[in-house]
Amino acid sequence: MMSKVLLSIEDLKVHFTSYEGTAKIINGVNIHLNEGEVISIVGESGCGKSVTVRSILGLVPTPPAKYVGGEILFENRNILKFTKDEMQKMRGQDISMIFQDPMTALNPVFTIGEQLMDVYMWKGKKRNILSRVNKKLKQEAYSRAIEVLEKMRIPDPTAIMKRYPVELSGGMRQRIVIAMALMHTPKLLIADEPGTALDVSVQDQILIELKRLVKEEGISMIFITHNLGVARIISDRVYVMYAGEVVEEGDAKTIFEESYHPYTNGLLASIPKLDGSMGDGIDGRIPNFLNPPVGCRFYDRCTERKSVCKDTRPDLINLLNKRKVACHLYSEGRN
Amino acid sequence: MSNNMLEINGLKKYFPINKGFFKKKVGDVKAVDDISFTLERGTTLAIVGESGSGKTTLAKTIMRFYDPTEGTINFDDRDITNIDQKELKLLRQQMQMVHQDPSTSLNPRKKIRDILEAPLLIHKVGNKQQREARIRELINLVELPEEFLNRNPHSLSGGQKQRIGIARALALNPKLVVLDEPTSALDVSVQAKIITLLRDLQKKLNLTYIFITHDLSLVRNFADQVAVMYLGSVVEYSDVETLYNHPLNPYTQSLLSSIPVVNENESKMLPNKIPLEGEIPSPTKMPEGCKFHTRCPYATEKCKQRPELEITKYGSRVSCHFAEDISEGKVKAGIR
Ligand SMILES: Nc1ncnc2c1ncn2[C@@H]1O[C@H](COP(=O)(O)OP(=O)(O)OP(=O)(O)O)[C@@H](O)[C@H]1O
Ligand SMILES: Nc1ncnc2c1ncn2[C@@H]1O[C@H](COP(=O)(O)OP(=O)(O)O)[C@@H](O)[C@H]1O
Ligand code: SF4
Ligand code: SF4
Ligand SMILES: [Mg+2]
Ligand SMILES: [Mg+2]
Repeated sequence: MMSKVLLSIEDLKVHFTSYEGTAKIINGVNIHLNEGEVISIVGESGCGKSVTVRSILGLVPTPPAKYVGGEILFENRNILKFTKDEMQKMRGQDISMIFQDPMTALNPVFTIGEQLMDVYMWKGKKRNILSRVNKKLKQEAYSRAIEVLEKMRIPDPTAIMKRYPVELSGGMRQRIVIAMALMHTPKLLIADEPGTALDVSVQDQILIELKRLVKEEGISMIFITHNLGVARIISDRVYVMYAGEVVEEGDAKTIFEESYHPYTNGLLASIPKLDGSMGDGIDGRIPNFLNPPVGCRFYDRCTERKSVCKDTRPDLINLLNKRKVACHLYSEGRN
Repeated sequence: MSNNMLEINGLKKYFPINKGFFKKKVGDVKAVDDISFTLERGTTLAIVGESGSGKTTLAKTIMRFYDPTEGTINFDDRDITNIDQKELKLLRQQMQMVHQDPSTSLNPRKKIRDILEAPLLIHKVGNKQQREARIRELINLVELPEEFLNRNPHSLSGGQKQRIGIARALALNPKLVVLDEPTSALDVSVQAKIITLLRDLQKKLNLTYIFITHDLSLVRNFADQVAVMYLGSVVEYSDVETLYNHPLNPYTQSLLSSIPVVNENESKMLPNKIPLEGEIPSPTKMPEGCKFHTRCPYATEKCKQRPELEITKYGSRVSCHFAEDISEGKVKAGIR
């Protein structure tokens, strides 16, 4: 069965200008997402995960950002060419986003109920005090809010609706933020490191609920995390990003069982294992984007580099097992 | 000199809850509720538990940032439970803390040199020359180039900042270092480096560590003993191998079962998934009986009585009425 592509990011290039010069941050990223699919993007902080997904919602300020190449196709229309109105409509209905810190997404002076209902009634537009809401819409918004809270398995939804954000625990706030993003049943949900501030056990519960929900409702999801274990649990496919490029791509179940790219290998080796072993980490840090390496961007930190890597950028190539990797150690079609 | 750096007995730290205009006391937050353990010199105790379980309060009470409500603290063969401010200042040199977020714990307007010199100045250590020598020694100890001394924190990466945080904690030659989630703000690639550094420093300087974390996957690699905390109590206390091989408290098992591992082999090493119900209760409304009963899949009538920490056949100390049954596989999650 061929699934339909919902979103495809094609050769995206984003630069940022400042008085220091031009930072060539996103350097030809290709990502695609099928309908009903969950993908993860993993990589160290600063490697461009947030810039990539925020571009989908037009949330990267231009300037300083400049889109110098590529396109982002959502249902075959190029988002980068959208007008303000089209963008706003899409944000309110088709695509929702969950941010890292739940407190920034919640307004402390309104109850949970008011905030959930607002999302439904105003569809991403600014709340307009003058325009009145009819009773029926309000009723609808209320029922939908209760329904979503129930789906998130939040105990006693009617009571929660009356509470204020400060009265809730971190885990509960995170659940509310997820509920908020689901009020419209978007086609695409983007989650940028949700729950990283939470405990492992709470995070685990929330991720299980989130995955179940998006699968039940047929929502596609892009999930950003720097935790490879979390990526494995939540997604169908995983993209590994390094310094503004996708360096490896594969099935969530197998990508970490046998990884190919030296960067993925380095990340995996850094994770503490349950048997008590742990690798050495990766030396060095992400290159300066003002003057990035011309060849492989991982060159400075790579323990397996060859002379060709210095000047020639490796393409993302297909290996036999549905795996893609951008590294000169591998050649097209082998395993 | 005894073998133990720390001996904690029946330690309690309660914070009063005051309500209303006259701030009348209406109850207590039992942040640390009757905890006892010993910690050998040169070893590491990990304190593990969810947010709000009292890990930081326990460490701060041991360091005497808080006055204990009850119980005794013996540090380095000396009862420090009631020592006065003057003695406390001397004591602080021997107990130091490394904080979670390296970006907020370092003053951005100061040079690294000044940050490292501050504790030496406060405690009036050496003359200018001796201090400079010590600062250089410290920066080398954490494996950073001496040029960094002239930089500001903001020009350093997260991992480099945490190395400075560690260097600062070591400035006065402490005996005990409390590491409060020292790597939770860092990438795994950097975390591995910091953990390796901390381990090397421990050997080199014979440091005793208290390592606070909510990430059990780090513990086996780093700690000797583990105390699992829930709502102010230690519910399981054992050496690290026993904890991983025979976790007997249901809460410990649930923490272990929720570690996000990266492959099938690892996931086979975990206990079966223990579904935790709901959230950690508010410490102002502590559940009667076993504090964990509101979320425990094994809970029965009997759990309305509070279980004591009891020694098990593996040598660990566990508080659960059914620890024995669970260890013999007689009880399965969710069945009873
Ligand atoms: N100064 C204080 N006054 C009143 N209550 C406090 C105080 N400090 C801590 N508490 C309460 O004591 C309990 C334990 O807090 P503590 O900070 O020790 O938890 P923790 O295990 O370190 O959590 P985290 O993982 O979030 O750091 C919490 O309920 C907290 O709200
Ligand atoms: N508004 C901006 N102006 C300038 N640089 C930015 C801006 N947003 C992000 N960057 C830079 O882009 C790079 C990638 O950042 P980001 O996408 O946030 O990384 P990640 O989400 O993977 O941690 C970083 O070097 C960051 O400093
Ligand atoms: S292309 Fe070369 S430098 Fe880059 S990851 Fe592969 S081996 Fe290393
Ligand atoms: S005593 Fe009862 S409630 Fe407490 S952990 Fe054991 S089985 Fe669960
Ligand atoms: Mg980000
Ligand atoms: Mg704490």
